[in-house]
Amino acid sequence: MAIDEDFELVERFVAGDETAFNQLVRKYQKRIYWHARQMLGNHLDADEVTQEVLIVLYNKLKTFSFKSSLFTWIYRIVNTRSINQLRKNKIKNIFSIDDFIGSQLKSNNDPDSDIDNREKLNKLDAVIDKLPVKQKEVFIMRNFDELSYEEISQITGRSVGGLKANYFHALKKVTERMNENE
Amino acid sequence: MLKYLSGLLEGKEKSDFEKMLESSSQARDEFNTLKNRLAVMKDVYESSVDESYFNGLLPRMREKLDKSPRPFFSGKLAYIIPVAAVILIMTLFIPRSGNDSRNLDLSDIVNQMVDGSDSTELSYNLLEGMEQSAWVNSEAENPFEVVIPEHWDIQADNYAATLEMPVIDEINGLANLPNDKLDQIYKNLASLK
Repeated sequence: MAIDEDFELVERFVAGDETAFNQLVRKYQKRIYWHARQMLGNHLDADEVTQEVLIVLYNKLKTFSFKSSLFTWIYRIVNTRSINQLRKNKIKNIFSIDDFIGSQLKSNNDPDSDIDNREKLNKLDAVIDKLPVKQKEVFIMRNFDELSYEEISQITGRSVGGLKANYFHALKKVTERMNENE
Repeated sequence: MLKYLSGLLEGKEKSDFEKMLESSSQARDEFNTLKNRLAVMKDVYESSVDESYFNGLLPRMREKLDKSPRPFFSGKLAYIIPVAAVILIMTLFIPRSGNDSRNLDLSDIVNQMVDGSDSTELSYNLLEGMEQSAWVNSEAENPFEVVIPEHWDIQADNYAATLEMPVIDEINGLANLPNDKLDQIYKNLASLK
């Protein structure tokens, strides 16, 4: 059982076993990275947030009390940090004259080497990037992370009804934009 | 179709839609096409995973962790001292009065910083610190209104830098603000440029 395994790994880490933390990172790092990547739309920001989240986990795991699942807690941290990064980017963009150059640099640093894939990714990022934050997060969690509305509600603290409405609007915009791009 | 996928259809509406899908091959094709397109989006991301990036993540994080200094202050001091420093720095840049000026309303952020903290004592200290600083313009109707002279272009950058300070995030001053308040702040910042 995944929750029991997490519990055991956290217990071992709290007791001083550093390899347990490594196992936790290996277990969750891809989901952390991809959630941040889909929220932020570029690799550099996603990498920064991923590292931040791992460091937060390392420092705060000792205080984790299993009131919620470890997975929900980690998601909440990644999601909050990603939203904060989006807001910081928004503030930076107000003052930055080299925003275009910066965004080009960011998109060119993707870890994937395949050009065709990068183009597809950039197109997808552009579609998702235009969604309002609340629609974006529920679309990513539902469509890519395949989370239930109840799980998303635990992570975001929003009602299931509101999440369904947000997902509906996100789906509508995404499908419209996909049609336009064809 | 989108309502069904979003889980917004219930009861009779839902069963009617499912019956329609069963009976109409055109609707079924359309529905499957939509589902496939959404699934393809997921595949694009998953097929882009570069294992070498993930293999290097843990060592890089460990390296960063080793280099990061231990916090000099802990507990409440970790919040109070940086906030006090921000207030002092702002004091150097903001005049106590001025006729030719525009107003930037910080009350929401200040209130959130105070309300967002989990300690009454910490809230009191923050509030007391701000009341004693030049953040507070006693002549304004709103006690937390900051007055910024029009010719000081540097103010907007300073303010943006202040918003980005980790302590503001930690106290959730910015993170908890509703979108309309944030938009207003962005507009204020843009107007200062």
